[in-house]
Amino acid sequence: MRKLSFIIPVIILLIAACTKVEKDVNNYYPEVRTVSAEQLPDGTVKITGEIIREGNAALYYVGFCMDTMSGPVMLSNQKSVDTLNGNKFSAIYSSLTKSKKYYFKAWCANGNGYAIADNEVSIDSVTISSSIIPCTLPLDTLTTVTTQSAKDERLYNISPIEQNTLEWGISLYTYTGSDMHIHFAQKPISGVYKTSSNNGTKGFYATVLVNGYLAEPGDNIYVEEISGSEIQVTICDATVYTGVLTGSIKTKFRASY
Amino acid sequence: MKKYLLTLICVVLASSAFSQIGAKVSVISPRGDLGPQFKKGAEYELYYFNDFAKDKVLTRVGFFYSKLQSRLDTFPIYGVKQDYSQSPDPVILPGYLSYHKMSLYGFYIDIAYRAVKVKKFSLYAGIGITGGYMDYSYDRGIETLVIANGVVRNDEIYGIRTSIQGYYDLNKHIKIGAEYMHNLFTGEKYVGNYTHSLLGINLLYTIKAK
Repeated sequence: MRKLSFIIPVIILLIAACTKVEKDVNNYYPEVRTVSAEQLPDGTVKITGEIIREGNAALYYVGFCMDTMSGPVMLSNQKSVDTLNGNKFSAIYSSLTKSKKYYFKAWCANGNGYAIADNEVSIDSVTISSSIIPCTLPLDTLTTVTTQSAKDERLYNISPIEQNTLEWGISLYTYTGSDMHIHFAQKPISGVYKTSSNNGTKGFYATVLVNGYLAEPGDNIYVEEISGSEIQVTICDATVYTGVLTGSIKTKFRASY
Repeated sequence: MKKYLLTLICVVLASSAFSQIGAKVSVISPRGDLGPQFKKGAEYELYYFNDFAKDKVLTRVGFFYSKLQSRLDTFPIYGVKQDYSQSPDPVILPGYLSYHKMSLYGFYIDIAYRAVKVKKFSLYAGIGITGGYMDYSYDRGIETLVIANGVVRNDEIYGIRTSIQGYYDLNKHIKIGAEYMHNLFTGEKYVGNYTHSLLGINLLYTIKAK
């Protein structure tokens, strides 16, 4: 009995203290691959990645990195994703320009370490699809509509896109004396911008001033990159309060850098 | 802890009862926190032993040494940076960890109780305490946060060892045996908890034949 009271705890301690060690050390770490890059109609790019192996610890982080050169590194335009769809995950990259080619890689991290995909995907000629613009307008026109009148004007003077401190501005004038000024918070590239009442709003925003009146925030401005130095701007319906009446404007024009 | 262990060892060694020496060579398998990072290696022990109560109790006092190799040249560790004033999303910072050296050495004292004896074969179960050092050096970096190359650490470790030992009496002087052992260590400063298993061959030589 004395023998057993000594031996049994030793055996229990021996067995209980055993922890499994992975034969292949790489099994401690996750593995991921980059699946696809898909250009969306609004000029953004959807990147999809897939977890091949989670590894010997819980997966904590997944995401992507992007660069304009092949072989993006993890800190280059990194995006984290907080939702897995099965073993796949996606993120949207915006503010991409038509004139460059973009490379993407997926990465992930578990409790032991991180892994970055061996493969990459790329995409170029990023631009918005004309199909998402809900109106068809003649080029170089400005139409102002109120409850009392509708005025079609032809644009005769479109300024170059000029950078002024942190804004990019375009000024337009019609033959019949109207003027319109658009200020983008970032260099205008392909995408869908929103009208804003604040010049300082970062991202896909722009202020639109028509005859001295600011367009209401929240309306769409569609920007298509025609070439590296020219864009086409379409506004289908932006609300402008003139101080007397509420109206809307429509316009379509091309501007150059 | 180490001082008490050394004192105990010296007191025991002073006893004339320890007149027998043994040596052991084992394959050490790191587990626990170091299992993912270090390969199996060799462990060497040299000890005095004595058996009491007609060989029913076997006590050992000895010294161990082992050297481990890293399983990877570089481990892909990472850091996380969170700045809510910039973005709600964390930034994952890639990093690296490379070990250059890892060795363990120290002293132990253990006692084993004989569970079975059949002719010249004996089976023991044992438990003991151990203390010593873990010496290691590494390079570690996490992009934009930290770079620490050529770091050398010397951590005091102490722990418990449990074993199953089987012996065969070759003659009056020599026993040969096999042993399975499990050690649980705690590092005083850096290492934390760490375990390893050993499978070894023992050679015991009795200076005074019985």
